[in-house]
Amino acid sequence: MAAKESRSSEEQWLHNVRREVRQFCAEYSVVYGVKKRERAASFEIGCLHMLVKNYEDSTGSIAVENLNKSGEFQYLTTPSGNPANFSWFKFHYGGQEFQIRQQVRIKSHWHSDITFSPDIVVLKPGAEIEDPKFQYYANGKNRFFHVLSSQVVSAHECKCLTPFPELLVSFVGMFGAAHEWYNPREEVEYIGEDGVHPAPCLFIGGDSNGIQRRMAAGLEATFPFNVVTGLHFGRFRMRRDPGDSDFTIRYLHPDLIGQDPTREEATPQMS
Amino acid sequence: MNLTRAVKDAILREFVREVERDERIAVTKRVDLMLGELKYLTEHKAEEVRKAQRFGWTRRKLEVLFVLNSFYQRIVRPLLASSEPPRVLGKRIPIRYGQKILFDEEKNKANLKMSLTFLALCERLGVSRRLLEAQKTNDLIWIINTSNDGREGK
Repeated sequence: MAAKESRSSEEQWLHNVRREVRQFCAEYSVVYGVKKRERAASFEIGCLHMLVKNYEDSTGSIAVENLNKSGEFQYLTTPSGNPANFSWFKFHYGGQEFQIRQQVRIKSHWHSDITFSPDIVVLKPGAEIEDPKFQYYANGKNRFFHVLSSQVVSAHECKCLTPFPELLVSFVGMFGAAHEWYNPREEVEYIGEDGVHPAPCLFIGGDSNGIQRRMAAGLEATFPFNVVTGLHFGRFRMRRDPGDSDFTIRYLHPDLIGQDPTREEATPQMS
Repeated sequence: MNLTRAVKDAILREFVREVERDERIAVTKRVDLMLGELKYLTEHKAEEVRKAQRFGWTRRKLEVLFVLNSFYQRIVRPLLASSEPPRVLGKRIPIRYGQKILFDEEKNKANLKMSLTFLALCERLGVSRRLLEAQKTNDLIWIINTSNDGREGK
C-alpha cells in the first residue's frame, strides 16, 4: 500500500515536472535560446563586471572610455581589432591612471614570438599599444596590435567550464608569459593585504571536486594568482576577506606594480 | 518506452529545442555522463543510492534531476552572469559585443526574470539550488543524503 502511494506521488511529481517545464519553455525559450557565442560572451562580461566592481569599490574611480556613436560600450572581441576603435575602462589610483581592456594581445618577455590574448588585461600607467606590420602576419596588410608584458599589471582568463587539471595547469603558462614582474628566481613579495590590484585570475564557471580544489589551492600556494571556481553558482562578487557567497581573492603587493597608496588619490569619477 | 525515459527525454527535448546544436549536444552529453555515473554508483555504492531513494529521490526522479541540473549549468547560469552589472556598465551604458549582440538593461531584466523563474520552478519541485549546482551525480547523492537530514527533494 505504502509502495503504491509512493509510486503515485512519484507519478504526480513527474507529471508536474512536465507541466512546469512545458510552461517555462513556452514562455522563455526566446530568452535562453540565444547563440552559443552570446552565452559565452555573457559569462565573460560577468567576469569583467566582477573585476570592474572590485576596482570601483577599492579606488572609487572607474570611468568608461571611447564609447561608440550610439553611446554603447564597444567590446573588443578579437585581438585583430584595433583597440583604439573599441571601449575600455580607466581608473586612478595613487595618482596614476590604469586601464582595463579586453582581448589585447600581449607580447611576452620570454620571446618576441610568444604572443597571445587573455580575455581581460589590466595595464600599467602609460602602457602603449604597439601596431607594427609584419610580412608574416596577414601578409603585412594588417597591423599586429599588442602590448609588452612589461606593461601588464594582470591578465585574467574566463572559462565557462569545469576546472579540469589541464585547464588549471595551462593557466600557469599564460601567467608566466604575461607578467614580466613575476620572476621565480628571486625572492619577491607578490601578495599584499593592502594591494589594490587583484592578482591575475583564472575565472571558471564550473565547480570543482575535491581533487581539483586541492590542485587549485596548490597552484595558488605556488604562484601569485587566483583560481576562482564555481562562478555559475556564486554571486559574481570578489572580496578580500572570506564571506558568504562571495569569492575570496588575493591582491598584488603594493610595491610590485609601483603603486603608492600614500600618494593622493584622484577624485572619484563615474561616467 | 518506460515512463522514466519518457519524462526525462521529453523535458530534455523541450529544454534544448531552441538552443544551438553544439549546446544541445553538450547538455545531452552531460545528462548521459550523469546517468553513467548513477549506474556506476548503483553498482559500487548501492547503499548510498538506496539511501537517497529512501529520501524520495527514486531513480526516475534522479534522471529528471540530471536534466534540470544540466540545463541550469550549461544554459541558464551563463546568461545570468552578465545580468547583474555594477553601477554603470551594462545598466546605463549598454555593451555592444561584436556587431549583433547587445547587453542592455532590457536584456538584463529578461535574463534575470528567466533565471529566477527557472529557480522558482525547481523550488516548487523540491529541487534546491544546491542540487542544481552540484557537479556530478556523486555530489548530488551526497547532498541529498546529508542535507537537512535528507529533506532535500521531499
